[in-house]
Amino acid sequence: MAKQKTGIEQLSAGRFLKLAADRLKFVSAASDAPVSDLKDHLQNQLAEALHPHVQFLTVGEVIVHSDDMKSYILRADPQRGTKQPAWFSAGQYLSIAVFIDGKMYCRPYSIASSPRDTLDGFYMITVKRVQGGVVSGYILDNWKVGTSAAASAPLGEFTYEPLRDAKTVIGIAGGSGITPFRSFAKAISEGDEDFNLVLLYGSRTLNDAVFSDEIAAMAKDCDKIKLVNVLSDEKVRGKENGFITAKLIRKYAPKEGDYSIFLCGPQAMYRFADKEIETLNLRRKFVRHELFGEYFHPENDAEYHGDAEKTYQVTVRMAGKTTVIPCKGNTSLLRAMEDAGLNPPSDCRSGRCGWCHSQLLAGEVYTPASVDGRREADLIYGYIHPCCAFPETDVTIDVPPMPGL
Amino acid sequence: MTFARYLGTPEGTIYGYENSGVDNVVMRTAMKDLDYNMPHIHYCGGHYVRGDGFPSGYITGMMAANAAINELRRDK
Ligand code: FES
Repeated sequence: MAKQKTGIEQLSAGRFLKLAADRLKFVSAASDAPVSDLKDHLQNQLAEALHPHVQFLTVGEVIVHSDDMKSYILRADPQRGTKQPAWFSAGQYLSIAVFIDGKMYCRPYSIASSPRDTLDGFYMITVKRVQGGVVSGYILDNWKVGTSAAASAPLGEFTYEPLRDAKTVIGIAGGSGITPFRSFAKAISEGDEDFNLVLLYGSRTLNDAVFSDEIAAMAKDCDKIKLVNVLSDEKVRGKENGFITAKLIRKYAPKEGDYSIFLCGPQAMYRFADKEIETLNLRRKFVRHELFGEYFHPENDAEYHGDAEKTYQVTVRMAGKTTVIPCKGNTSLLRAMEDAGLNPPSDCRSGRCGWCHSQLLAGEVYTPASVDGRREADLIYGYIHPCCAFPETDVTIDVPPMPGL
Repeated sequence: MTFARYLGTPEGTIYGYENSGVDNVVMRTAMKDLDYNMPHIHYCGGHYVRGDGFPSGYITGMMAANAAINELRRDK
């Protein structure tokens, strides 16, 4: 009887060469209909619901605080494809896209409503007029009930993380920087966040302290929330007077154990408060800032070598198209691209999110150290964040196009 | 869900196409020039000829990098 061939002896070059032909036949005969639609998969549905590329919203209500400050209730717009606003973590922001004369401008606004409010179909943002700002003025003067708006998914890291943050958070809010804290307070009172919030709320007068009554009412019903008004221009009984100093923080901080400090407010407040906080010798992770916001006046920095008043030439390459635009030395490359109607991508506008990440192909730009969120690889390969890069010479940049809109 | 978000694959799977009787590592490798015929694009990872798994990821990644480097040298 012939000896049975073992596996390897059965292999023959002839058969092996036929394999490719067999596979080709098999592949050619297969149907080209998609096996399934991504929309039918639960995880993909969830990803799209929590992290949509764009959310279409409409203004449902306008709350007027003053001529220069209004809050907007933004409801999902199912007609344009957004069934429900995406859930978020208290403290996050939306990048709102506004079209002015056909040019797209994006600006980040903290969400003032609570995560639970998304289940009722809305977000709330508060807009304050920024001197020299294009978008805030446009929104305040033009948005009415029924206006269509477009927003990013909720973004940002100014959120409470129990593994990192202490059980008690001293919130330091200045002016419209109160908005994320309204969200934190509401989330705590609704049981979606669990920490003690001591809110030091700085404003000029009690009248300027938007949402103060509302937060005070939440504090009354929930012992995890405490509100302390700090008034700089007015003396009111039972309220603190002056600025938010280290001494004041110590007065309201827990006498024992760690505490975190969360800050949100104008840049001047950060500069003042950071000096005060330094004297408290807290661990670095216990001090957290909301986005710095757009950087102005690079010419005041010693490291800036451009000419603030000079108009430089910026050659922008985007998706295969090249455009040459002007940019003054004191204007960020991002703002110049917006003004030129190039619809560049942006979210945080503070050098943090990386959404505007672009390559510098020629020329020199200045990025202030306080908003330089680049990594070492970015520096080696010449990447910049146009939201906080100011030209010092004529430059050429390669910018990704804005997806989704 | 995070993989579904960033990869856009069904259910966020990271495992590439399933190996089967006629469509397996050997045959995919034998036919790779026919399947992947776009110039200057080099492939790697779980969807490429070797299928899923860390070793396949590493090896095809190395192959792609080498191919790209060789191509760049050649074009110089
Ligand atoms: S917009 Fe976020 S880094 Fe520039």
